[in-house]
Amino acid sequence: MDRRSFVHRLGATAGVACFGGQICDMVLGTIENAYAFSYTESLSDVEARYYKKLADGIVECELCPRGCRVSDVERGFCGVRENQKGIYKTLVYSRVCSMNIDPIEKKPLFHFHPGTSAFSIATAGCNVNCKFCQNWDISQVRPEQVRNVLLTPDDVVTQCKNRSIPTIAYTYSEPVVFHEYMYDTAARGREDGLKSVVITGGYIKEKPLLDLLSVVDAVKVDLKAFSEKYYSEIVNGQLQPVLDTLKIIHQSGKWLEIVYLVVPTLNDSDSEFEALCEWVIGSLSADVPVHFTRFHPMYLLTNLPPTPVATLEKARAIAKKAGLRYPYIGNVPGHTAENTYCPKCGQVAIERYGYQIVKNNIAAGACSFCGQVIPGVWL
Amino acid sequence: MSKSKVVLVRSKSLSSGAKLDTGSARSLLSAGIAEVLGCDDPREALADIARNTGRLGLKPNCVAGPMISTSASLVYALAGLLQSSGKRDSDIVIWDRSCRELQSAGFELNAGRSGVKCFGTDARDVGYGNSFHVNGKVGSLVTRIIEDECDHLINIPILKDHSVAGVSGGMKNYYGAVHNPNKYHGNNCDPYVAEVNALPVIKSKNVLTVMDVTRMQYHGGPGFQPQYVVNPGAVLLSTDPVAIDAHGERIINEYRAANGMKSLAESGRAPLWLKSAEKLGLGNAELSNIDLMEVVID
Repeated sequence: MDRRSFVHRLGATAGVACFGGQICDMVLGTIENAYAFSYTESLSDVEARYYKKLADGIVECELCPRGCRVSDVERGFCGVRENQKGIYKTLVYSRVCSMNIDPIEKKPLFHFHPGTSAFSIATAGCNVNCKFCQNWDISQVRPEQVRNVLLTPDDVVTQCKNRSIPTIAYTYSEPVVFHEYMYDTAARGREDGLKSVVITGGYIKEKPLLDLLSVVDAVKVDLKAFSEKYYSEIVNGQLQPVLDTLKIIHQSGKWLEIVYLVVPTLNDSDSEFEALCEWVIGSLSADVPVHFTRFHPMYLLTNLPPTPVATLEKARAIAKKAGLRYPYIGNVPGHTAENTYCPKCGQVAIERYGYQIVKNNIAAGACSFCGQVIPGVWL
Repeated sequence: MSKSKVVLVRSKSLSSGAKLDTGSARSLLSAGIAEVLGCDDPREALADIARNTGRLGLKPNCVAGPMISTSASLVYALAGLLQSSGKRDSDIVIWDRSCRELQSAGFELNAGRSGVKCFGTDARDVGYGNSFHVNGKVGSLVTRIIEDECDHLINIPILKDHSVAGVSGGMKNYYGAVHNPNKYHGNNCDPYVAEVNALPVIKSKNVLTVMDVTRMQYHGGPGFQPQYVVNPGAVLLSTDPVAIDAHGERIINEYRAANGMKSLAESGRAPLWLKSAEKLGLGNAELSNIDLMEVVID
């Protein structure tokens, strides 16, 4: 195994459970000289950008559809925004609890600079509470319950430049909750020619979303199901605002991919797959990649088995029949549905194994066999 | 379910503006504990608690700083009374979620081997347990102080209005025991408050609630807003965690009415979690099912 493969293998396993009690050791993953970073016990004291003040010192958050009304000394649902005497503060600005150098395919973004790496960062917190969360140890905790490194936007850019990493990824937990930090970092990165990609559940209000889209290059949205019931009972959120987010991203022209985690018995019916695909084609485009990914028991949903591969294959078949051009299967390393197939000639446009590119047959954004344009952001 | 008993002990001098000190706190507690346990002699009641509670955790509410947290004098007075009744000081731990909040509320941290212990869940080598405690919509890690350090718990909250839950009293105080309380404020905290308190690790250990009503806030909570703070000079006690909060709601509403304010229910934040708690068998939520015993001292 060469060094690159080794690094990628490490990246593939980073970000999993490390919560051992009060303190979660930061996932340092593949960052060389990781221990050169200094931990900080202080939380940030930066005023949030999306809120309004109400009577009696209460604030109303305007970042996500939840619209938390928060009293003095209390926090919003996300656990990382606090009312301090009538001023709403973000506690996680530049407080990074997880970072790695990941292949962009891990996000997954399959049509965005394939084969490149992303400097991936997260803070604590999330604005939903999925019962199957794979990263609950950083997303479902408060920032003082993890170990944080002080990493300013300038620091992130410096790290990328020093390692020749072209992209910053905001990922692992829920970047919406660290919007201010993400926005400033993406804007700062642009000054040095760095791309930014967002890995999100898409539970965000329009104004902060539009602001964000002005400084980032691609978004992967976890569309967790296609029913309000599932969003209410399993996600602790709502479906419609996520659908609205998807439309706004698509209309913005920024690159968009969708992940649909298939959970046995909960969101794996044929009718739900069909409704999802019809909506993507009708409201977005048949060219939007949709990844049907495999669930593994985790967090509060340990009573269900991993998704049978046959179910994922059925979902992909329904998607293809509906007319989606780029349906993938995820979390099944080695499956042929990890590959990108040219919708015109059927040849393998990009061959993948796990997060690695085996062969890239796209040249100048088109299939090298037949010249069919493949939508995406290519090098 | 049989009727529950809530004891209200009021000090004339405290309600007239005297400062709460160790002596007055001891008087309130002695009278109240005897009444709530049905003993003529307070020493007998305290000895009963001291003898049967093993390693005992005392949980104040320190979230809002020195002006509207549980009085440290009241908590230390209870610890002192129990020590006088035979409990080893090292078997008492005063705890909350963070050391900083405890200190801010006037408590002195002590993680040593001697003396009454006092520390937060965030203290070194403490933290939350490794296993999720799941009940209904609640799924949380619980502080190791409850899981490992304490055999029993006495809840010592302060009574406050809460902008979401309606009432911040005893049951809401156990939000300080779980790692993700921010997830449990939807729907006016219903049924979350009830389900957190129904977690077996809490329900089975909580033996008594002593509510600090020497000073309280009837609007604008949980943060400190001095214009809504009054000094009833009282404590409430009950072995029924639901019943005591039901009376907490009554008291808050009485002060709100006296000050021309709408009731909590009229304000859209009735503590509906009380009924949910009753359904879970935690206690009585209806005032008609609760006997209120009033004791006036000095």
